[in-house]
Amino acid sequence: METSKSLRKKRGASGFALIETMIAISILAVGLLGVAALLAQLSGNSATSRYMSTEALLASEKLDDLNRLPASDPAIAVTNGTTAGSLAADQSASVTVGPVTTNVDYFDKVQISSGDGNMAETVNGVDASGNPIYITTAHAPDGTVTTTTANNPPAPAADMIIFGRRWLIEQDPAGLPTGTRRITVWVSLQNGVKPSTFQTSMVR
Amino acid sequence: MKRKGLRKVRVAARGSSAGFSLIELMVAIAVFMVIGGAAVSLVRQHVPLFTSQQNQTGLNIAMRNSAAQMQIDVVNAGTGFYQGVSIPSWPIGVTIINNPPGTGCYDATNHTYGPGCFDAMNVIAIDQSTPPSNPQDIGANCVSTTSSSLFITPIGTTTLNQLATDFHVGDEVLLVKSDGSQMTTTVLTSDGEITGGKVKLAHNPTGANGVNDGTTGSNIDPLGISSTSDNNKLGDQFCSTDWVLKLAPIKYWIDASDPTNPKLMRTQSGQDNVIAEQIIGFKVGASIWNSAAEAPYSFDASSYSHDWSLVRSVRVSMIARSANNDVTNNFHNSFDGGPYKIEGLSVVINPRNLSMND
Repeated sequence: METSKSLRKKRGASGFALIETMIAISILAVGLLGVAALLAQLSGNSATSRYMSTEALLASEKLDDLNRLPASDPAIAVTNGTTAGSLAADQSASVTVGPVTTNVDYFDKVQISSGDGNMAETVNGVDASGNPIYITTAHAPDGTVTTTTANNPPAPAADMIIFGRRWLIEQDPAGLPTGTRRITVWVSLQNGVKPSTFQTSMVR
Repeated sequence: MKRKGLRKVRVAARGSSAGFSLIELMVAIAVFMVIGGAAVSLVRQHVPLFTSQQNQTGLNIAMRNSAAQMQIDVVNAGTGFYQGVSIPSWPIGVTIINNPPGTGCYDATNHTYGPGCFDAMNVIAIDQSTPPSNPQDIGANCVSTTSSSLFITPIGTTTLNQLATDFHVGDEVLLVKSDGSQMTTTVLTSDGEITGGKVKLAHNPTGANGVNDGTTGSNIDPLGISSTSDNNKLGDQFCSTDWVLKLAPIKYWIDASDPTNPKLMRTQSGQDNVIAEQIIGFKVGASIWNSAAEAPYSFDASSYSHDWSLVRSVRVSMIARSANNDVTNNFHNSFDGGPYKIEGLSVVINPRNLSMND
C-alpha cells in the first residue's frame, strides 16, 4: 500500500491533472466557438456586401436615368441657387423652367422582391399632377415583363428589400469648368439588419 | 556518486511513464468530444451557406461583368455617323428584339428555359475603318435597294480601290438619307468590285419601301433595323447626297440551344463569345425620346412602332441562377420554384453618342 501510494504521488506530480486538462479543453472550446462566431459574422458581412452591390447598381441606374433627360428638364434643372436636391434628407422643390412649373422629388424608394413567382422592382415617384405613383416592373419566369403604375405602394413581403435613394444636382461645382453639372446619388438600405449606404457621382 | 545518479534516472523514467489514469483520459476525451462536436456542428452548418454564397458571389460578378460590357458597348451605340454625314438626328443606335412570351419558354418541371423567354439587343455602330460613300447608280440616277446591285462612289481622298476592298460578302450596310428622314439596310452577297468608275455592291434586295422582313436568303435583316412593317422611317430610294455606311454591330442575345444552361452571348464580327452562363432572364426595355420623366420603360418595341431613332435609353434586366447542385436541402426559390438561388440585375444605359435633338 505504501509503495502504491508513493507511486501515485509520483505519477500525479509528473502528468496533467484532470483540472489542468479541463482548463486546456475549455480554452480550446472557447477558441473553436470563436471560429464559429467568426463564420457567422463572415456570412453577415457577405450579405452586406451583396446589398452594397445592389446599391451600386441602383445608384448607377438612377444616374443614367437622370442623365437621359435633356439639360432643360425640370428634373435636373438647377433654378434656385447652385444646387437642387439633397443627400441629407428627402427633398422636394417646385421648379420653374420656361412657362412650366413642376414639383420635383429628389428622392425615391426602390422595393425589390422575388416572391410570388415574379422578380419585381417598384420605384415611387410623382405623376404629371404631382400625385404619388408607384411603378412596378415585374419579370416572370416565362419572359413576361409587366409594368404597372399604382397609387399605392406594393404589399410588404417577407423577402422585400427596400432601398432609399436621394440625389443632389450641383451647377458649376468648385474645381470644374463653368457649365458643368454634377449629379450625386446616395443609396441606403432601409430594412436591413446592418446599415449600408453607397454614393456615386457623375459630371455632365 | 555513480549509484546516486542511476537512481535519479530510474525515478524520472518511472515518473514519465505515469500520467493520466484511464478514467481521467476517458473524462477528458468525453468533455472534448462534447465541446468539439458542438463546435464542428456549428461550422458544418455554415459550410453549405459558404458554397451557396460563393455561387451567389460568382453570379453577382458574372452579371456585373455582363452589365459593364453592355454599358461600354451601348454607350458607343451610334458612333461613326459623324465621319462624313451631317444628319440632324442620328437615325439609329440600338435595335431591340422583344420576344413576346409564349409556349415553350419555361419548363417548370425540368426548370429549363427555351429561346422564347429572351430578348435580344443589337448595338449599331458604323465601321470606323470604312469611309462613308454616296449611293449613285450607273449614270446619275438614284439607287433603289429593291434591285440586287448597289453602286457607290467614294468621297474625299478615298480611291475606288480602297473603297471596294472594304466591303465583303456578309457585311451589312446602312443606307440613310442626308437629312436622316429615311433609311434601310441590306446584306452584301459578294465582295465589293469596281465597275464603270464606281464600286458595285451586290446585295440581298429589300422589299418595297426598304422593308426587310425575310428570315433566310434574300430580304433579311439580321439586326432588326428594317425587319418590321412599322412606319419606322424606311425607304428604298437613295441618291448621290445620301450615304452608304458599313455597319460594325454588336449583338447581345441568349443562346438557349442547351435549355439547361442558357448563355448570354456577345457577337461581334461574326465571333460569338459567352459573357455569362445560366442566364434565365434577359429583357430589354426602352425609354423614348421626349417621354415623361416617370414614364415606364417599354418592353414592347411595337409600342413605339419600332422607331429606333426614338430610343433615348435602354434598360437591360437580367436574371441568373446558381448551379443546380449547390443546394442539397429542399430549398426552392420563390421566383420559379427551382432548387437554385437566383439573382436579378437591372441597368439603365444611355447611348450618349446619339444626338437626341438637344
